[in-house]
Amino acid sequence: MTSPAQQTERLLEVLADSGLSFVVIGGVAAIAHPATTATQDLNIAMAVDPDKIWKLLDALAPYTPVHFTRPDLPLIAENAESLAKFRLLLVETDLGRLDVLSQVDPFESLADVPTVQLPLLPDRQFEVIDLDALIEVKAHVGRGKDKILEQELRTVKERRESVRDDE
Amino acid sequence: MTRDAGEIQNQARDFGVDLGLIDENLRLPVAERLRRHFERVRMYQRMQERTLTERERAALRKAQVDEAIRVWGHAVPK
Repeated sequence: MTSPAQQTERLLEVLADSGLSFVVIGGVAAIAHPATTATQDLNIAMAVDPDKIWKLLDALAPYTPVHFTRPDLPLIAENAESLAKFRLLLVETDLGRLDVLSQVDPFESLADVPTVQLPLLPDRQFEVIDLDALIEVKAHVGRGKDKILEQELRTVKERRESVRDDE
Repeated sequence: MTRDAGEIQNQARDFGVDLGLIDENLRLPVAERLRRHFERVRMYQRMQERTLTERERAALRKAQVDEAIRVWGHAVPK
């Protein structure tokens, strides 16, 4: 099995149309801020309970969602109760990869994660983790590629501030 | 530029961060940054399609799955 072409714009539209409340984190948030990292998948954080998982899977159902790590296991709404117990869902769909996190370390709860509204798609606003918070997350994770992105985000912050100073 | 800012830029260069691309992105509206990024991702994927055999692509995917399990362990179905 190989991976489907990533259509993150469509994934964002599908999620927004579902009415679920979520925060865009990870590489797509980094690009919005604007890093240049070569991320492919879409990472979101959302409060998770069986109803929300049901709503999520209902929205993704036309795009045949499966577990990325176990593509032989279909992700179906009937399993919402057990799926809600996972801290992380790595989902593969016909629109590409979507990672759903129910917590964002080092923040104690999702409500503590600072966010900003950004127009990730033309005329469509999304809640996105703010730049300082994303730097904090990457510093906390501390794996090789996260360290690189943390460094890039710190540079972005400094460049943004120097652009503001020049104005 | 402050001394701290200079140090950050020097570190960024050491990490291979492309300051020119960041500055170019800063001048673009957010949705346009994303649109260009998504296009780059698809171009990269098309390049993979053209240059890798099906077996190599399957091996790449397996490596990504193994990495996800290694990193996330107990948190994901396996």
